[in-house]
Amino acid sequence: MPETNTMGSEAAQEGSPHVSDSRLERVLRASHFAVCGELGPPQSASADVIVRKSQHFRGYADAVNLTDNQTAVVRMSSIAAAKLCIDQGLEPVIQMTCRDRNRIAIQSDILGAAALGIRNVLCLSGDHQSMGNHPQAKCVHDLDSIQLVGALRRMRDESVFICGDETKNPARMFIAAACNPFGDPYEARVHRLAKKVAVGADFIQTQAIYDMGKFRHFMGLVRDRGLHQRVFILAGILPVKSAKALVFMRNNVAGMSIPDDLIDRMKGAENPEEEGIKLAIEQVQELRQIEGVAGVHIMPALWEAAFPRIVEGAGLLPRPEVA
Amino acid sequence: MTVAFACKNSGAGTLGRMAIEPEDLKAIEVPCGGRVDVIHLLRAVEQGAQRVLVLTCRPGVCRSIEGYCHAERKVARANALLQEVGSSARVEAHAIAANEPGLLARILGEGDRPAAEGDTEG
Amino acid sequence: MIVAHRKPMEEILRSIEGIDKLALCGCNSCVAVCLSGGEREVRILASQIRIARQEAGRLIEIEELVLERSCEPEFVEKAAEVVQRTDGMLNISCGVGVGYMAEVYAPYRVIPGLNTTFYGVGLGEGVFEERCGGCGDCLLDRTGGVCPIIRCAKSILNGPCGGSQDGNCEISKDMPCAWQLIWDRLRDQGREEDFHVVEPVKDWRTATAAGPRRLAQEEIAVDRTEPA
Repeated sequence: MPETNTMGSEAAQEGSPHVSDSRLERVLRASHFAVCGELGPPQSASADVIVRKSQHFRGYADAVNLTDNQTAVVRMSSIAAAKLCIDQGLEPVIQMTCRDRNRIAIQSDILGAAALGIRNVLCLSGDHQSMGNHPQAKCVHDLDSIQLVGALRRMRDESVFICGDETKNPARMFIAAACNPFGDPYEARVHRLAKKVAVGADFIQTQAIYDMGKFRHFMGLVRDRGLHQRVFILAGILPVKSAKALVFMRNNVAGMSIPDDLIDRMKGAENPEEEGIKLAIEQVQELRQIEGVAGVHIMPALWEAAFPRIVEGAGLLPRPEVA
Repeated sequence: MTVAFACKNSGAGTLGRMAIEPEDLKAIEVPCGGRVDVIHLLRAVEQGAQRVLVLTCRPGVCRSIEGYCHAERKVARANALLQEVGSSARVEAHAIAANEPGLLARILGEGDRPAAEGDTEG
Repeated sequence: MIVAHRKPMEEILRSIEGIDKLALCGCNSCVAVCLSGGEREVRILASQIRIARQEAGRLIEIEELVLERSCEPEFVEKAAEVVQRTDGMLNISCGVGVGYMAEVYAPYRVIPGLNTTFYGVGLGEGVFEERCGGCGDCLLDRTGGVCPIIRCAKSILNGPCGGSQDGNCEISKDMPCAWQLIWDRLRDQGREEDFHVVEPVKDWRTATAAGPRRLAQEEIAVDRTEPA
């Protein structure tokens, strides 16, 4: 008989005790507006790619996401890439999908990640394998992302595995779930966010935002239910270099909402790259004004060099030093 | 060999009016061309037909209303099944009235044949 | 019903290559309903095979038969004489029927002519669609009758995922999002609150156990073999 887990995450409140050893957590609890970046590992065993890309984030990001076989294309594992980032002085957020691993592999990977010094994890369903380069694969989906959040929370706070066995030294992760304010069914989106909070998510990273109006409306619903006080919400930003990129996303990525005037703006720009940076900076500044938004998650998508420029241009430097 | 499934209201009548019955043609009278089943068409090929015809009334005069449409569908299916096994035999559907020996002759590929005395082409 | 569809013709012809006295057996149950293995399909396939062999300049004798069901002994027994008279069988029942026939008449060779795929419903006009995941622990009441294991591409039990858009799954505009359907159903049933209930981690042992699952109805079964 399924129960609603009402553990809730009082953790979002400022001044609450830390639940993990995550530096990102400390930034958020000290009420700083957090900045997360994102780095896609290579389709190879080239560690130097990670080393090179890390340089764009050090000193500019509080934490950096490492994607997990994104779009179901085989890439270097998130955990391995995260360790390489730690060696470069970054704080990584690993991403873990439910598509490729069963509960045994997931819990095992989490223990290993913690042992390597990783402190943040984003729990995802995962893009369907039909989108990637191995559509023939048998997908796993032993757990869904909400069950995964709950499992990691229980491991951290109760020192147990999913089966109930104890672990003497649990992984103490700062746990994230994703949120898409623009997908359908629209009315269910806030319910789903509430569910993620209820099972124990500490922070949320949203889908890339282009439709400010719609996002503002969504945040209104979030605030009505007090969810912003129970979980840290980081708003997603995806800087683009061209109108074509926006059009491509609108046509090919499910669950994106992209207003026409943004596409027109990029089309009419004399220098689209500069315009893209300018747009991203404006987005950061707008999002900062919305009550309940605790930070931004900037996903430069093959344009890592844009990241430091956006952070600097948005007045987010220097990044805070936290104990 | 050619096998013709001829509707008794149309094709069969025409076959009867041909002055000379073509060689190598086996005619089978059926109540309605639209009711010939795919299996009958395949069996005709099994028995050696290189060409199988389904003769129905013209659309609009069929007593079963849509005989030609049904025949067309089944003919298409039979051809697909034959192609699947690399057979060179082919099935065709033709709409014809009861008194069109000239048309039938052309269908059979023998050019115009003299009609029996007293008949007109439809 | 169990839904299956015919194998490609080249594969079928290759698999019966060495057989000159062939039994071609269909089934009047599920595969007849989904128009893949019933009497009509037996007759047509037999005819096609004979034509193919003629084209190749080789003969084949085919004995055609159709069983009422291929998954119960009382019907499969009826194939005994045909099996005796032939060198092998092309069987267009579902995989259950093929395997059972092979078991009953071993070492007689039974070749599948269909690819068996899913448990599904007939939507009309020759269209059949998967509906049940055979998970062994049915939760349909919690999801308004929509199976999330099979109708959600990611088998999400707390959906929808971020890719649901306009009622469609991220995979294709032709595939409805199961969680949109579930949301609509629960809402129409006045059970919106149930949407908040967290479906816990699933015990998949009832879905695919170690080896074949087995049911013995205790009241009437005299189960002579020990389960593994």
